[in-house]
Amino acid sequence: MNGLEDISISIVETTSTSGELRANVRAILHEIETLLGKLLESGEGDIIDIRSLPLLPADYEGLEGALGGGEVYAEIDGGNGPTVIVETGMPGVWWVSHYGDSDEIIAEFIEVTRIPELLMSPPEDIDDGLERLRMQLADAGH
Amino acid sequence: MNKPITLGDQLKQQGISRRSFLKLCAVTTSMMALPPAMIPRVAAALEKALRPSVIWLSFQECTGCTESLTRSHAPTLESLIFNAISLDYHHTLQAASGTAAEAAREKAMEKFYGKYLLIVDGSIPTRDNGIYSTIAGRTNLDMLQEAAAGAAAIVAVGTCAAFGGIPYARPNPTGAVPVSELVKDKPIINVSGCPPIPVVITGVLAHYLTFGEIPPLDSLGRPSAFFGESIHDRCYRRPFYDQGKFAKSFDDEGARNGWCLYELGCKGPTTHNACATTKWNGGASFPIESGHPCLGCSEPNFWDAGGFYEALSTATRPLSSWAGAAVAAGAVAGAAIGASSLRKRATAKRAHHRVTAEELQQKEDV
Repeated sequence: MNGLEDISISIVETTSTSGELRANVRAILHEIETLLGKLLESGEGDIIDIRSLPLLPADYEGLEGALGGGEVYAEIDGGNGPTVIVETGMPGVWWVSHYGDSDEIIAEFIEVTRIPELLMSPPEDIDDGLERLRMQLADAGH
Repeated sequence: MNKPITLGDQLKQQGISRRSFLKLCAVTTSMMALPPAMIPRVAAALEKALRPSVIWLSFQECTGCTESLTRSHAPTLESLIFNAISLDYHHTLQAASGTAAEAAREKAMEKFYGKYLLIVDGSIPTRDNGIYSTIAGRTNLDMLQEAAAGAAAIVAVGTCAAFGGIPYARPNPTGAVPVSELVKDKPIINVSGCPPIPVVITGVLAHYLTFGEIPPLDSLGRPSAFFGESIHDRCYRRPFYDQGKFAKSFDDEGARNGWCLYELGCKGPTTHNACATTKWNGGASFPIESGHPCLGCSEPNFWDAGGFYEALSTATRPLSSWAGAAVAAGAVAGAAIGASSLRKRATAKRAHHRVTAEELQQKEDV
């Protein structure tokens, strides 16, 4: 491995040294600002697909940093990989990460909403559960 | 007759909860590069989706497209084959070989006549009745015509199948043509790229599986969701282009600072693909992020479109006049020298003239 250290490699900075926001991060924050205003006004939420944005790792980290952490952390134990849903430091802005079965992120969204749909119990599943509960009660002879 | 089993039925049988299904829909929507507002429509369609029969024919190609597909991470190729499609013939991936493999293809074509999805990678040689590429003793030309007749739609995967690709490049000794030259009466989706991005291949399959129809296409027959914007318009280095900050050689300050690669021959402005957003290897990076200009591999005739390292609007001209004039004028300034020696090297290679390190050094010292 001799000589490898002689090759100069310049790593692109991952955090903004001057405290300024990166251009890509600023653009997304402006979009979130608009969506939050719309949410308050009409109650209508929206979703941004993070994968559809041309982000560098530094932009991604910058965005995470700018939004910060909030009060809610939820993990859905799915069939093939978990989904992690975190409310960011901006209430109403949720970071939703879907993991695949080998623990890599397969899709990621920013949801601007009071509560992401995935956290609400789906009527179909409530129905299944109710049926199970009734059977349990019947088995117990009540 | 049995009622066909939908994807919704199948998932219910596997005990998949509604939440997991909604997650699948969100992931699928993202994979198809559709806006998140489409998630409810994707959910409604996926529930009723049927597992289509897929026949994959590989013609005059390098198997790079299949290699790319095997690196799809979401969904993985396994989950695609086992859950979403019925891959009835693919001579690289299937377990059967020889007569049994060809029999599987014939059986699927007969059973699903008019309904199967035909995927083709590779161009089709037509000179001398197509004898330059054969499978099981039959020409690609013959096999394509037979398989296309019963297909619901055709996906031309890779630049060879979509536009002719490398076999089609001058002087095209085998008379290679793309699928669209031979099949005129079926819908054709061109998924170009050398190779295409894995998730673009799976995304197009997912679209067909979900909606049972082909996605909106651009003027070259490519799905607009993935090929609607140029690499340049979505490039994270675009701000440097707008500011006029260019790397002039692969080892100058501009290159180290990650400036625009336009002057090093980047074909981003004329290339439509999803590399800048979807990226490669599970979203790790893409050529420009790794410091190399875009070659334009998803565009027709990319192989014959001038040098990979020639800037788009710069006419190709012999190095001698360029460098000679500059040296004579004594005007060779710092940044330009790197580019000059690079071009010198390239020109020398074409002329089979060996340039020594001393010669290059001399030029740079002038």
